[in-house]
This record gives sequence, C-alpha cells and structure tokens, in this order.
Amino acid sequence: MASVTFSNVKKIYGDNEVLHKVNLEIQDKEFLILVGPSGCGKSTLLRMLAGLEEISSGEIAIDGQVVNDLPPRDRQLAMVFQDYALYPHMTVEENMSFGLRIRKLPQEEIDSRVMDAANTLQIQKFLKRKPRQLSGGQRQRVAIGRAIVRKPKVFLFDEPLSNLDAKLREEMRVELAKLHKKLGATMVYVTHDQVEAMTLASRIAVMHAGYIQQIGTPIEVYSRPDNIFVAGFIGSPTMNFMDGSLETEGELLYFKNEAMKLRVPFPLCEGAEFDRNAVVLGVRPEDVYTERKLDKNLGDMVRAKVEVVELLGHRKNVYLECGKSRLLATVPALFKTEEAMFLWFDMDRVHLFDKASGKRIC
Amino acid sequence: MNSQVLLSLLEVLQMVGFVAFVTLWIEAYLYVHFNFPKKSWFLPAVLSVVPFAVLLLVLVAVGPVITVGQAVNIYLYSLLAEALLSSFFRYKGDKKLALPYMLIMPGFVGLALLIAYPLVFEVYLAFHDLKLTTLKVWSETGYLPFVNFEHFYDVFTKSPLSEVSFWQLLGRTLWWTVVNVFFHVAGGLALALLLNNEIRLRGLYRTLLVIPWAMPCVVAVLAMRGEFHSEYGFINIMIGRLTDAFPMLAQLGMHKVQWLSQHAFLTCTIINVWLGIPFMMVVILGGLQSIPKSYYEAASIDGASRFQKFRHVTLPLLRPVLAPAVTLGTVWTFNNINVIYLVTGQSGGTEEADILVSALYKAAFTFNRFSYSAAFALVIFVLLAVISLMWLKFSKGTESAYD
Ligand SMILES: Nc1ncnc2c1ncn2[C@@H]1O[C@H](COP(=O)(O)OP(=O)(O)OP(=O)(O)O)[C@@H](O)[C@H]1O
Ligand SMILES: [Mg+2]
Repeated sequence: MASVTFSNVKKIYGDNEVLHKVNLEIQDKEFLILVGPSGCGKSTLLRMLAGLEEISSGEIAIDGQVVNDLPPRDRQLAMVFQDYALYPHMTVEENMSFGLRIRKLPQEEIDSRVMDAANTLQIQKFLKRKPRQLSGGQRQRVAIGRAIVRKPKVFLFDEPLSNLDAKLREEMRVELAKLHKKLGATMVYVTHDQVEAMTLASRIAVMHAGYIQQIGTPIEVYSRPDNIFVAGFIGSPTMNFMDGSLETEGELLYFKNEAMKLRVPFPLCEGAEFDRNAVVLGVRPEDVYTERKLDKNLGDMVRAKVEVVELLGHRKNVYLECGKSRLLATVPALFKTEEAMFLWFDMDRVHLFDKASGKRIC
Repeated sequence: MNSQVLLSLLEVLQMVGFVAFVTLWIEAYLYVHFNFPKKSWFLPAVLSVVPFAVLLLVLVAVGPVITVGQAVNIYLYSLLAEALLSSFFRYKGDKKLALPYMLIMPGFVGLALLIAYPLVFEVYLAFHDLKLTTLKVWSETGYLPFVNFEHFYDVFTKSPLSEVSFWQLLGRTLWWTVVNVFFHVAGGLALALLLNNEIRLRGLYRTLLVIPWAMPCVVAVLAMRGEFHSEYGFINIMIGRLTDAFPMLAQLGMHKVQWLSQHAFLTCTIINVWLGIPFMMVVILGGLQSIPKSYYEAASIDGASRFQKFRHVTLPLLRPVLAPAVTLGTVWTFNNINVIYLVTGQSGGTEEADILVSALYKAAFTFNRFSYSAAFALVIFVLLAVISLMWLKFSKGTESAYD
C-alpha cells in the first residue's frame, strides 16, 4: 500500500490551463475524495495519476517514487471507470483476470484471486456471463472486482456510482466503505456528489476551476469551510448567504444590512484582510430557527416574509425573503408557518466571509 | 472497343438513373400518404398504383415500347391485384398489415419480374441450344433445339474460351479470391490503424485514400491499365529509370516486363488489391472509431502492451464489422469481372488472368456461346451459393462481439 504526492502539478490543454499548481498529499490507507462541480478538473487529476494523461508540469510520486514518465502498466494502480469499461467480448471471469493473464501470473494464483474477489463482491454466480448480461449494479461490482484482483498500490475511482439509481448507489456506497475497511488500501475517489464525499471520505479535497479549495476531514470541511465556494458546495440544502457590513459599536461587533442587525459574539481571525463594508454572512438552513431555543446560542431576532413552503415529510423547507436576500430554513414538519415570521440564527455556527476574496474571516 | 464499353456503361447508368427516379417518385408519393393517417387506408393503397399509371403513360408517350392498350391492361391488372390483396387482408389476415403490403406490392412485383424472368429464361437457354448458327432461326420462328444436359456436361469438359479449362478457372478463381481478400483486409487494416491515430491532415489522407473507391471502377481500372503498359506505363518507365540509375538492381534481376500480356494475372491482382483496399479501410476505420477509448485505457491500466491491446481489444471488437465486410468482399471478388475484363478483354487479350465470371462473360459475348454460357452461369451460381452457405455456417460471422 502506498502514499501519493502531487507537487505543483499543472495540466494545460493547448492554451487552456485546467489545473493550476495542485499540491496534494494522500496518505497510506487513506480514502481521499476529490469533489467539485462538473469541469473542475477532477477526472483530469485522477487520470494524470493513472498515467492516462500527460503531466504538463510538476511531479506526481507514488510511495516517494516519481512516476511522471512511467507508463500506466508500471504504476501498479487499478482504476474503476464511470462507464465501467468492461471488455464486452470477455466473460466476467476473463474481464477480472485479464490484467493477471497479461502479467503471466500462474493459473492457480489467478483462479484463487478471482474467486476471492468474486466472494467479496458476491458475483460468483455471474463469472461465466458477458457484461451485457448483467445489470448496472452487477457490472459495477465486476469493475471493482477487476481492480481488486490486481492487488494494486492505489485504487482509483472516477465517479463509479453515477450511473446507478439512487437506491443502488446507497447500497454500493456502504459496500465501498466496507471494502475500504477490509482491504485497508489507499483509494482516490472522484465524485461530484457531496453525499458520497461526506459519507465515504477519510479526507475530502474540494476542487473548483482547477484549484483545490480546501482539504480536510468531512467534518472540518462542513463546519469550517475555508471560503464561500466550499461553504456553498458542501452541504445540502446549500448554505444561505447574506450580504452586509461589519460595524463596531463601543466594544461590540455587529453584522448589519437592510433587514437585520446581528451582534457577532465571536472574534474575527487575526490578520485577516477584508473590506468591512462588504462581507457575507453564511448560515446553513438547519441553523435557522423559528422559535427561541435555550440550549442554543441564538443571536438577535430577524424578521422575514414567507415565500414558499415545501413539505418533505419529516421536515419542511421554508423559503423566506429577508431584505434583499433569500433564506431557506428547514423546520419540523408540524411547525405552523405564517406570512411573516421571526428567525434566529445559531451564532455558534454562522460563517463570515470577505465578499471580494471569498475567504473566511472568522 | 473502349468507347463501346463506355457507351454501354452510359446506358446502364441511364437505366439506373431512371429506376432511381421512378422509385423516388413512388416513395415520395407513399410518404405523402403516410402523413394522412386519418384517411381510410383502402383508397390510398389502391391509388398507390397511380405512379405506375403515370409511368405507363410516359412509356406510351415516349415511343414504341408499349401500346396504349397494353398500358391500360397493365394498369387494370395492378388495380385488380391491389384490390384482391386488400380484400384478402380485410377478411382473412391482419387488417393492420393490409396497407403496408399493398404499398410494397408494386415494388415487389417489379423486383420479382426483374429477377425471376431472367432466371427462368436462363434456365430455358441452358437446356436449349442458342448460338450464332441457331440465332437467326430462333428470332424468326422462336424455335430452339432441346439439348438436355449437354451444355452442363460441356462446361466441365470443354474450355469455355479457347484453351483454359473449367477446373483451371475454378482453381484460379479461388486463389484470386483468397489473395485479394487477404490483401484487402491486411491493407485496409494497416491503413485504418494508421488513420485512427491523431495525426495532422488526417482528413486529407483519408480522402486521398478513398479516391480509388470513389472513382468509377472503369475509369480507375483503365487508368491503371495504362500505368502497366510495357512502353508508356509508369511502372516500366520507373523500372527503366531505376535500373539505369542503379545498375546493381538490374544485376539482381530487375527489368521491364510485359505486364499486360505475360503477367496479366499479377497485374489484375495488383490493380484489384489497390481498388479494394479503400472499402475495407473505411469499414475498419468505422469499426475502430466505434470502439470506446475507455477499453484501451482500462487495458493500459491492466498492463497490456500496444500489441496486447491490439490482440485482445481491437481485433475481437472489430469482428462484428470485419465478418460481414469479409463476406461481402469475398463475394464481390469472386464475382469481379470489371478488372479482369477491362485489363485483358480486348481482342487478342490473354486468357491467363481469367476467372470464372470473366470467362463466362467472354464466352457469352466474345465467343457468342449463349446457351453454353447460361449453363456455365448456373454452375457458378450453385457453386457460389454452396460456398456462401458453408461460410455462413462455419464462421460465426453474424454474431456480434458485444453479445
Ligand atoms: N482532451 C481535452 N482537451 C481539452 N480540454 C479538455 C480535455 N479533457 C478535459 N478538458 C477540459 O478540462 C477541464 C476539466 O475536465 P475534467 O474531465 O477533469 O472535469 P471533471 O471535473 O472530471 O468534470 P465531470 O464532473 O463533468 O466529470 C474541463 O474544462 C474540460 O473542458
Ligand atoms: Mg469527470
């Protein structure tokens, strides 16, 4: 098993730089998830690690060995593709053993590895079938099986679950988590589904427009997003943002805009550079309360108008208008909504960002 | 001679154009009617013989092909046939099928006549004796002597031309087919693999390589025949220049040869290989481009070398396009008369290059042995049918790799 290091890795297509100086360390046995919106360069980064794309500049090292000029076959990786890429003319067994046969392993070794993987993934019954005769979920397992039998240093997954329906995706997510535990392998996993990222990852790397925006454990990324992009991207439903300014009155710091004046009970970061007149307050929908709660550090009262109410079953989504901004609050389903409402934010869990740079300032 | 060939080809072209035009007309007419699904389907279907009526009118107007009476008769018969068909489906079969069948019928009848009539006539000819000496009597009285299986016996025992025997021809045909198809596939595969790479000016190369196929075959073959001319052809001139410049080559045995008379079979083969490669190239290129890139990426990661990827991914996935292309190519090559006839067909041309079908053509139209050729053609037909059936049975050709 192995660690992976990206140092100052760039990718340039023609004159279009799609990855800018990416630095990333993946530790041994880590489940690292690259997450970001479509087109941000996740697949490109993964494919460079696999050796399917040239590295324009910078270095990628596996276990300390620079692999820039190593062909894919010598990197000892296995990859699971989004469309599975199972060879259509081979049976499941042949698909799984192809890499081993190419490497001329002894036949008993091949058979035992294929059987092991098939048992782990519960696909013993399909070994003689062609991929065409399998369902999407079964193909997915075969593709994973093909990776497992190789006993690679690093597993790469490029959106492996995105072609499955919601229920199957949930199941496979659990299986993948189990598999990671069982194999204790280093895994790099690309997805744009933040639920997958939150549930599977040891660490998440959030990417946007060719930059890594933040790397951290799921909790870190969720509760202390480094910038507005990460704050808005991670978490569902998305965080509410409100423009405003910071003002000091006496000893106290206030966040103010046309609809609210909130006392900020926490100190700002030292040395953070920002424009006091243009900051953004972020609060997640579940941190917006419609009643006073004594066990929470709720801030000052905010007045808002209800626009739309969506019933989800156990919760309700309430869309509110508050000055110039739109707010979403998720409240218990039984809560009675009126046209105008009073809101309180959980001040322990609000975030302040500089509007111009997007950076966190608290 | 050559201008004659061109002229008759022009006629064939006109004929094809005419048929295409009529078909187009009928199709357009049917299309319009399919767009009015609410109309009762009986009337439009009966009316679908209208284009025929128009066609008949044109034929009558143009000249002495058929008389007005005949045209009216044909039209009434076709109306009757449609009505019968329609009532059959109304009362017996599936009502929904009535309209499609009625619409198909005019075309179907035309095709049947075009294929069935010549076939029947050919069988008739094969068992009778039509040759130059009996032609006049036949055209005046319609009498032809019945000769039983004599012609079939002759096919296997007497030369269809002046010296070459049926068995020689058969052997040469098989050899010709094997060699040609082999080089077509090998050349096409090689070029397709090259063109499938990301190279500059790929479109230009592809266009250039497809030209031999896109050109009318006759033009291409005649042009190539010119290049093999012993005095003025490119090939011999180049050989001359080379041996002049490098006398060593001459010592190694390189010298001008009489391509058309002494190496006719080789010349024909070279020309036909050149002509056939583009088709295979296009087909294989299509096949190559339909193979998703991710299979190659998966194979790279699995550790396959370039050759292993070709062997384990490319070839198996090309099979669904290769199998039918090879089948087609085999039949075309087996039946290929143009190259050999155009290269060796002029008077005094050699028989050294003839295969079954070109010998058949020469027997019929150079030697005027009509009945003999009819029998000969039937023999070839049976032969080809047997070969095709065997091929279909033994190769799993039609099975797709994606199954
Ligand atoms: N072969 C290529 N030539 C030029 N540009 C490319 C090429 N491949 C990718 N790109 C560009 O690189 C950027 C990153 O692409 P990439 O496939 O890595 O995105 P992604 O994050 O995986 O997106 P998705 O979630 O949609 O898969 C995109 O803007 C894309 O247009
Ligand atoms: Mg991608």
